[in-house]
Formats: sequence, structure tokens, C-alpha cells
Amino acid sequence: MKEKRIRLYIATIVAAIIAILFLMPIILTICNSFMSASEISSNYGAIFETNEKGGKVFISEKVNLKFIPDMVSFSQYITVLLKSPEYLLKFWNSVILVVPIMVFQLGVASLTSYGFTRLKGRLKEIVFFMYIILMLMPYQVTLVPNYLVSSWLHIINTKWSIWLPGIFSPFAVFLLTKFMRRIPKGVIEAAQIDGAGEWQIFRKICMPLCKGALCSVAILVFIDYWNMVEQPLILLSDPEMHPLSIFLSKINSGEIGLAFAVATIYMVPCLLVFLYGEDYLVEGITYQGGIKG
Amino acid sequence: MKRFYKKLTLLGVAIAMCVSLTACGKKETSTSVKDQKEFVYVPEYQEISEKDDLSNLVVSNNMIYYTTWSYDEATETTSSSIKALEIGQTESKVLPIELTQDENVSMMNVDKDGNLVVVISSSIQGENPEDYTQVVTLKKFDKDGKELMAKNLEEVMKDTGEFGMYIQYLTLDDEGNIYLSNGDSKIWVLDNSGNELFTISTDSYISAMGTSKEGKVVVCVYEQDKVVLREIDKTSKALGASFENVPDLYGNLSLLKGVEKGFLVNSGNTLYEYDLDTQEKKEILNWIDCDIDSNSLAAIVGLEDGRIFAVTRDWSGENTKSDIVYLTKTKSSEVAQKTIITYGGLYLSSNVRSAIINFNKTHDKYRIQPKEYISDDYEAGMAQLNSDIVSGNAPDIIDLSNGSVNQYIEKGILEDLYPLFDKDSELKKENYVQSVFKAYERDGKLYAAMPTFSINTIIGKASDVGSDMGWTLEELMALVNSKPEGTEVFSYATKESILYSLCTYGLTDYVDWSTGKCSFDTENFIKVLEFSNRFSSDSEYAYDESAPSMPTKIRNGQLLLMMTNVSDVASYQMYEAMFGEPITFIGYPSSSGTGSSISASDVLLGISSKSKNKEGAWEFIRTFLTPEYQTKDNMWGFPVLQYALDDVFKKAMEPEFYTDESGNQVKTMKTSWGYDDFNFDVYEATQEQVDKVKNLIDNADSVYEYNDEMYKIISEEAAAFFAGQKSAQDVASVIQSRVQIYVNENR
Amino acid sequence: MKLLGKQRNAKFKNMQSKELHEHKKINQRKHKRVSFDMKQRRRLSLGLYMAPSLTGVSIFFILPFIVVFYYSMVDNPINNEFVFFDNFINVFSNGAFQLAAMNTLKFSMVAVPLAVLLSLGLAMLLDHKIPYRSQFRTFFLTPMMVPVASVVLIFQVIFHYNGAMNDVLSIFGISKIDWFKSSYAQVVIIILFLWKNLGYNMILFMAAISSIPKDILEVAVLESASPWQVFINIKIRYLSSTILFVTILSLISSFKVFREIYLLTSDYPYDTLYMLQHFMNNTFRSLDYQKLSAAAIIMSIFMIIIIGALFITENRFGKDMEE
Repeated sequence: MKEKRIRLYIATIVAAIIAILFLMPIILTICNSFMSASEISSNYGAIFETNEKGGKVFISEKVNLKFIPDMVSFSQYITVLLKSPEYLLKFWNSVILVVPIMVFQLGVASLTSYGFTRLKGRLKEIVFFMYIILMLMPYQVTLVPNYLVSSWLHIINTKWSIWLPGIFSPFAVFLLTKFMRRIPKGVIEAAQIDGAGEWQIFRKICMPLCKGALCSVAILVFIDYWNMVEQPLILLSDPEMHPLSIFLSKINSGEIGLAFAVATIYMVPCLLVFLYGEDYLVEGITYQGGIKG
Repeated sequence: MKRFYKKLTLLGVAIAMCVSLTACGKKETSTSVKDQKEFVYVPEYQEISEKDDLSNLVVSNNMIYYTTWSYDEATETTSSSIKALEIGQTESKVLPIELTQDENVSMMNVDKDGNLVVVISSSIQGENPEDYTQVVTLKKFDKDGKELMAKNLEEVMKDTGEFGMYIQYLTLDDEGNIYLSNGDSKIWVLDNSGNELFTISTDSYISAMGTSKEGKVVVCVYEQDKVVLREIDKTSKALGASFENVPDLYGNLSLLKGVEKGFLVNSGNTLYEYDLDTQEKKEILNWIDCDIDSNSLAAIVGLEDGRIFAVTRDWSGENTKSDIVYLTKTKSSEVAQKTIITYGGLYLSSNVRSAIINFNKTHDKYRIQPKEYISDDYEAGMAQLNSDIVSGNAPDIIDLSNGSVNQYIEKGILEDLYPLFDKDSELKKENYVQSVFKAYERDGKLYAAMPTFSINTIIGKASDVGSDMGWTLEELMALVNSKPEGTEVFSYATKESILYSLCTYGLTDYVDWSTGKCSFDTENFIKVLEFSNRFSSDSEYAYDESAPSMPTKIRNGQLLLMMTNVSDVASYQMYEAMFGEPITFIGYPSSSGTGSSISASDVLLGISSKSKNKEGAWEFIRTFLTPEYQTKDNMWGFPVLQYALDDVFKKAMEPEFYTDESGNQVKTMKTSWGYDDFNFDVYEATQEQVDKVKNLIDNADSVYEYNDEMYKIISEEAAAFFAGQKSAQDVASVIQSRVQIYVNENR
Repeated sequence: MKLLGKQRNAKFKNMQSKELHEHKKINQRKHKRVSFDMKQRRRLSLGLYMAPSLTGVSIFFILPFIVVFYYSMVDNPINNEFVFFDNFINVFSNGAFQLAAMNTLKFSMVAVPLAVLLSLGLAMLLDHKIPYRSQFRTFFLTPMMVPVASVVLIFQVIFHYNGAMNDVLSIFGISKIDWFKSSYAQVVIIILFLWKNLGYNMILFMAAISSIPKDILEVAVLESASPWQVFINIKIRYLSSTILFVTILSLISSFKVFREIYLLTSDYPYDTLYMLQHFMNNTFRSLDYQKLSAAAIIMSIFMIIIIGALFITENRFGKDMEE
């Protein structure tokens, strides 16, 4: 038994070390956001000095990576939130791009998934397989067709070019279908025998049972699109419309102090969603196991 | 539960919206796709017999009023007059308005009743030549020239200081109030009898002023990086409401009263209608489509009947020629169809623009339709042109002067011009300067042609660099090392600028587009890095005001070399004098060749290999190569036609004379050149000087090429070496790695 | 069942009169065909449910994909001359494409096994009854939630030439490494990839481990099998399908690593970091449709092969894992 306890101790210590390593980049970002502008530039000025072409350039000798600020300062946040509206504008761009996608993708997907669950036959199998393939394709592949359609519809450089492909992305369909298949057949059959139409079954049985699943999917979709880089890079040539993610990577030397604060602000919605919905998220991932389902 | 259903209903609504949205998206496309313009404006010309230079053109009640200015060589006097011309007539009459020799009409406008409001400025000479006073008078005349009012504006303009006494803009509103502005700080508003109502002071620079169809008087100003119109608010006596989404505009001819509403806004090549209510602009016409060079416009007026009235002036001939043009809106289907040849370039040079307009006026079969790619920034325009070319949307004729010619040639984007030469009955390829054609030739095929060229090279004293052209970087460094400490190599040189020059003019050494091989990791490039590193960096560079001038330094031996662009014989004569001893075009250091490269001094043209109208494209390009074009006077750069070039040389060697009072021929200087404190009068060149230039042209063996993306990578990485962070070898290998990817990708 | 009762009541209320009317009409027509018609109708209405998504997917993915396929076969979108495999040959013989394909392959070969092994290790670690187990799970999962753009700054600071990592290494007497611009560049990206993806894989493994029948483990312990034997003979056997599944899933996500590289190093990185996605992205900027289409088709064929492998795996091993 003693041996087992030692093993447990070791396991805990290992887990703790790994946890620290995992959390370090996040904590560092947050800590650094509380440094004053001068402290940031004396610490990292070296790295983020830029030349006139916008490329990052090496200048100074040393970089000081610090966890704890010399003096806790909220000046960065004050600047970001109150003084320079462009960051909030970019944050708002992110929100305005992500939220409609999340809402509509869920809406479209829940209907479609219901169809997939209830229908039988070879054709449905093939179509569902197609959805899976599309879901697993890297962006670089799906972006080519997206770009073509967007240019045909003349929606390039508008939010629609991000929204529409996002809304019809097959990911939510796939996951929700997997959830819905787990609804016991008996429940649906009983309702059918009672004469319930498809709409009633969908609304009154299927949806309530899938509430958790909808949450999982919403969270996964949210992370995916909140994090997007490729789509706006290609479909939105106007930097004004870019979400914060791209803006952050192009931030230059003068604003490096703000960058950490902006990065933190950008993380906050994700972390909140995570804290609120970790169990849904885990459930969602578990259901993703077994693609075919 | 209930809440959940509510959410579901919301979802339903959302889906419905979504479906309708897709529908919307589709609808949009059907209206916005317009490849062919529905309407065109067809010009109708009428020559007027006015020989003098005319200006301040206004139209009122079927009458055109304008002012003329002429100089009588015999009496050495100037005279101005205000003339009136009835629309449709060719002979004008002079209004009985007395203008003295010193008086000059600087502005004229016409009010609702047809009265002319005129700003006259005159300078009254004092006793000393430098003290004279400027007097600005505002006068009003009726349509027959009877003076109704006169007012000295000195009182009104008193607080503008010594240099503010001029009027740049004049406009009138419907009540006859007079709006004046000097363009940068003041707007004065006077009532119809010239009494001051109020003055507005502004910090912003005013780029236009005008009255809209609705009677609103606005000024055009820059605000937060964009052009806006601000209304002049009579009640608050300040700038009022602002209007956005205004096309770029500048000057007196740009903000004109609209025909139906708002304004006509002239912005470069395009005339827009701007609606003040919706703040939207709508393209009315493109001047080039109407065969009008927008640079030659002297007046634009929207007539009540929907026609556009314009006056153009052509200075190219002996006398200035003025034309009245009526532009009538016509369905494009009713206009004789010509085959459209597209011309694409970053921007149109004035030579190209007039060539296009001339071509379109004279050719029945083809019509050149230009497209300027320049947008807000150079890079975006370049990228767009490049992507159009690469994706198969290339214009028929491509202006290659800003692009990567070598890359395009290797990609097979350009058409061989020699077969077109062979078919041409007049132009013979043998008659053109061979070294220039050779530079754009691959495997006996010619891919680009240009009307005029110049040579990029480096000049050094023959005593330093020897008399043979071309050298390597080692030789350059050996020369520098042999000189005493503190000797400058190039003037104003920094690490970055030297690296830039050596990379740009030596690019062929490092990138071979035909094999796609880059050689930045070579000893040679490492030497370039090390050599550049000898200079101070951009940020450290300090301009020394007390230092002697550049020509002095050169002659003292404090400065060794000079990078330059040679485009005529006179500049060689000047450099020789400036260096004070024989010079050599030693060229940019390169591992092989002379290091002197050819660049187009105006345009470099190629035909897209995908073009369906290669004959048409050639028809246009050949206009630049014809003897008529090549032998024109005042061309910038060397002509590419051999005998025209020989002619240039011959002329350079001929002395110029003028006849003095007693009828003797006196030799005179042709032109005068200056560089800092150094001045040089150019007389005829010697045979030796001309031979040097000829030799330079014959030996220029590479083509100027600039690639922004590549230089971006190079400069970004080189910075680490310049800052002492990394060794030159490391930096060179990173550059090699990154540029190689770029080259491979773009082959 | 309570719910069902409610359901029944609701049904009668909500049954549309129109629907009833329809019923009658069908009844009047042909008694024998009724059940068939009902089935058809049901299919039709379900089809309607799927219509928005099917239309959207067709418009935004399927139809343009056919066009992409067409583009990959013609010389340019204006001439539309068929050149068949020329574009593919061009792409395959393009030095940049070859480099990108090699790099992507190399990256996946290293990153994927690591992602599987390490996440399995993490899952095993949490399988012990260690204190704060659920907190640890949360910690391991957090990186997945954090936007890459937010942590890129910190990674730049850590792995910069003058950065923290080189400082730490210098303590051990290791000379400075230019992490982003040398052959070490992939190491950084692998670390970032693992950091982002381990948590996700771990959850999949944890689910699989918890579904191993407890009695078998207990029997093994009773028969005094060593922990190692238990691990190899029982756990790995039960986990084999999950391992395969996670491998393929990681392979797919390793193709999505471009985002991290782009944010760290932009368009033209050092050559070891140049991935297929860079090739696509940069070709996008020059809108070379033929090359782009051909590359997209090549990439999608490759993905379809991987996905096919995934399906075969699932069909063969998936049964026990699914339930």
C-alpha cells in the first residue's frame, strides 16, 4: 500500500508540473497585461521593434520574461477600453463575426441533424459521409470553393463572406446528429404511435433531450470561430474588418504594451465559456470520438 | 421548458432570415454585374478661333465668358480681356471692360442674374524693384460689361498677412452672396453688393469650393485622413454639416454645380455625380472613354439639357488650340462598336494617356481601354495587377515598368513581339537599339518594348576605378580599403540604402528566374551584407550640415562614387565637369557583366500571351515606336529607334547659336545644370563624350527589376546582422531559405 | 412518461386543421396506398428540415468544389482550354510545393505520435485517484480554449533569439538557438501543437479508459498481474481502437497547424516551417486559380484517403468502443 501511495504522490507531482507548464503561457499573458507600458517596452522592446516594412526586427540584447509586474498597473486596460477605440472595434468585429455564425449554424444544424436521424437509406448515408469529409478538410481546401462563391455573389470583403460559409459549415450537423442518434428509438416511436407529427417530435422530444448537446456544440463552434485566422485573411482584404485575432499578430512596437492587455481581453470570453461549460465541452469531445457514429 | 421553446422559435426566425439572406445575396449579383457600360458620352467637337490662352471659363444663359491673356513680343506688353462667346458660334466679342497692364483676372464667376463677378488682382510697383503692393479688387459687371460694383478687398483680407493676399476660390450662392477663399486659412462671405457678412477661419487646407445645385456652398477639406465636404453655414457663420464618401478632388475645376442634384465632381480621369442627401457618388463618365485628356480640360459645365459641356486646350502644337466639346449621353449600343483592347498599368503616365486618346480618336477598328491599378497604396495596386496577370485576367497590353519582367517572361505570360515586327510593313526590328532589345530578349524572342530608356549605373573617377566598365564587389572593396579612413563611398549612404541598391541592381546575380535558383547563401551576397554594414544605419544617420557639398567632396576625393541614372548626353557632360576629371561608368558591382542596367524612362510595354487581340495590341504599341514618336522633341530618355538616337547624339554635338542685335551668330549654352553649389552650363558635347555614352548604352546588359516581397524579406533578415545579433552567414542562409520559397512559389 | 402525456395533449391541440384535411383527402383516394403516401410525406417533410443546410452546403462547398475541379483541368478561367493533368504536374514539380509537402509530412510524422503518446500518458495519469483530479483535467484542457493569437506573443518572447528559452539554455552552457529561423523551428511548432491538442486527445482517452470493464481489471489484480501487465494486456487492448482514432484525428489537426505558424512567422517563414497551407495561402494572394485548384484537389484527395482509413478503422474496431 505504501508503494501505491508513493506512486500517487509522484503522479500528483508530475500532474502539477505539467499543469504549470500548460498554464504558464496563459498566466504570463495575463500577468504581463498588468505591466505599465514602460515596463513592457524595457522588457520586450528587443523583440517587437519593427522596421518600416512591418517586419519584426532584432534590436536589443536581452529579454526579461517576468511573471510579476514591478508595479501592478491598469493603464493598459484603461487605454484599450477607454482611450483607443480601435481595439474595442476589432473586438466587436470578432463578436459580430462569431455570434451570428454560432446562432445560425446551430439553428440550421439542429433541423438538419433531425432529418439525418430520422431518415434512413443509402442516399442519406452518402450525404452524411460527404458532410464528414467536408468537416475534416483543412481550411485551405474549403476556402478555395468559399472564395469562388463569395466572388460570384460579390460578397467578398463583406461580413457575409465569413458568415454564410460559417453558417452552413457541416461541423454542428455532424455532432448534433451523433447526439440525436442516442435518443432511444422507443421514445420517438411511442410519440409516433400517439400520432405526433415530425415537428412535434422535433420540438417536444428531440430538442429538449439535446439541450446539453446544443450547449456543447455552441461552445465548440464558438471556440473554432473566435479563433479564426484563415478566413478573414483571405476573404476580408479590408483590415478595418479584421477580427482581433489577426490584428493581434500585426500589432507593432508602439503598441506592444497594449498587446498583452488586448490578448487577455481576447481570451476572456473563451475562458468564461470554458468555466461555465466545461462539462458540456467534455461531453461534446467524447461524442466526437468515433467519427462515423 | 417554455423558455426553451421560445429559443426554438427564435431559431426558426433565424433560419428564415438566413434563407432570405441568401436570396438577397443572389439578387445583389444580378444588378451589380455590369461589364459593359450601358451609356457612354459621345463627344462632338467645335473649334474656337481663340489663339490666346483662355481661363476662368463660365457659362450662363447660352453665353460663355472667359478671360484671355496675351503677350505682345513687339511691344513687350501683356494685355488681358474678358470675352463672351455665344454657344454655337466661333467668333467671340470682347466685353468693354478696361484692364490695365498690371491687372489680371484671377477669378470669375457668374451669378443667377447673369452678372459677372470678377476678382482682379494687380501689383503696383513701388520705387524699389522688390517692394510692390498687391491689390485685390472685387468687381461686378452686367452681361454686357457694364460695371455695377467695385470693391477693394484690402479691408476684408487685412488679417491674412503679407502672403495671404490672393484668392483661390470664388463661388456665389442663389442670393448672390459672394464666397471667397485663399485656400488655406480663410473663407470670406460678402453680400451681393460686396459688404462683408462674416469670415471663417480654418486650420484645414481647402482643396475646392463650390455651390451645389440646391444652392449649398461647401468647401472640400481633409479630415481624419479622408476627404469631406463641409457646408458653409450662414446662420452659425461657421463650417456646418459634413458630407462623406467624396471622390478625391483638387482645384477649381473639380467641384461643379450638378445637373440634376448636388455636384459634379471631377476626380482625375473620372467625372462623378455626388448627391448631398444620400452622400453617394455615381460615375458619370470617364474622360478617356470620351477621348479627352483630363489634363487638357479648361472648363466643365453640366448643361440643363443633360449634355456635358467642356473646353479643352491643346498645347502640343505651335499655338494653343482650344476646342469646345459637347458630350451627349448615348446608349452604348448605338455607338459604333470597336474591338476593345485593354491596357493595364499601375498608373497612366501623361504620355501614355495622350497616346491612348490619340489612338482612340484615329483608329476605327480598335479602342484602348485603360485600367489604372493604383489604389490607396502602391503595394495593393501592384498585387492586384500581378494577380490579374497571373490568374489569366491580364490586360491585353501590360505596362511592365513597375513589375517583375523577368518573372513574367519565365512564366510565359508575355507574347513574343518579333513576329509582330515581322508582319509590320513599316517598322523593322533591325532599326532599333540592339542592346536594349537584347535585354528583353530570351532565346531570340522579344517580350517587351519601350519608347525611351535610361541607364542605371555608378560613376567613378577613371583614376580610381580604371577605364573599363564593370567590376566586382571585391574590386569595389579593394578601392575603398585603399583610400584613407573617413573617405565616403556614396553620399547619404546608410546600411539599408546600400543594401537596397546593391540588391535591386544586382538582383539578377542572386535570382535566376529561368531555373528558379536563388544564390543568397553565396560568398558574394555575404560580402554585400558585410559591405552594407560598413555604413551607418538609417536610424543613426546624421545629416551634417556643415559638411562640404557633394560636388566639392567628389573633387576633393572625400567621396568616391555616385549612383545615377543617365538619360541624356548633357548629364554625362555635367558629371564629367562635376568630378573634375575623366569618369568611368563603372556600374553596380556584379559577378559578371557591366553592372549597368536598362530601365524604361516612361513605360515598358508587353502583350499578354493570352490576349485575343494581339494585332490590336501591337497597333497601339507600335505608335510608340514609329519614327514620328521617336523623333519628337523634348523626350525624357534616349529614343529606342537607332537613327533617332544617332540624331540625339548628333544634336548633342552641334553648338547652339542665337542671333544678337547686330545680326551676329553667337554661341550660346543649351541648358544649365546644377548640383548643390556646383553649376554647369551645357554647350555642345565632344565626340569623345558622346562615345562614352554610346559605349554605356551598348554595354548595358541587365534589366532593372524591383520585387517588393523579396526586398521585404531581405531587409527584415539583414536587420539582425546590422544590429550585430547574427553573423552574415546565418542571415544569408535564412534569406536564401525564405526567398527561395518565394521564387519557387511564383514560378 | 410524464413528458409523453403532456406530449399527447399538445399533439391534439397543435394538429393543424389543414393537416387533418390532408388526411381525409388521402383517405378518400386510395386506402391501400395510405401507408406508402404517409411515408413519402414524412420523407418529404424531413427533407424540408434539411433543405437549408443542404442548399447552403451545396452552394458554398459542393458546387464550387466541382468548379475547382474544373479549374484544375483547364489552362485559365477565361480560355477554358482543357489541359488535363498539366496543372497537377506543374504543382507537383513546383519546388515550393515539394518543400511544403515534405515539411508537412515531417511535421505530422513527429507531432502525431507525440500527441497520441503524451495524451495517453496524461489520461493514464488522471486515471490514478490523485487529488484535485477534475481541476487537473480543467488545467490540461484550458489551452484548447485559449485563442492562439492571444498566446502567440508569449511564445515569441519565450522562443525569441534573445528570449527566455535561450536564457535558460545558456545556464546549461548551450549556445543561442534561433528558434524560428533554423532547423529547430519545427520544435517550437510541435510544442505549440501539443500544448493546444493534448487536452482534447486526453478527454477521448479518458472516456475510453473509463469504459474498460472494471471486473476484468479486478480479476487481473486478483491474479496478481503486475501494473505493467495490466496496462499492456488489458488497457492497451481495449484502447487500441481509440488509439487509432486519436492518431487519425491528430493527423487531421496537424494539417491545421498553419494558423500557429502564420501568427508566429507570417507569409514566408524559414523553409522548415513552410507548410502546404502556406503554399495554398500565398497562392491565394496571387489568385493563380489553376495552381490553387490543383493544389486543393491534391490536398483533398489526400484527406479523403486519410478519412477513408479512419472509417475502415472504425468499421473494424469501432463496435466495442461505440457502446
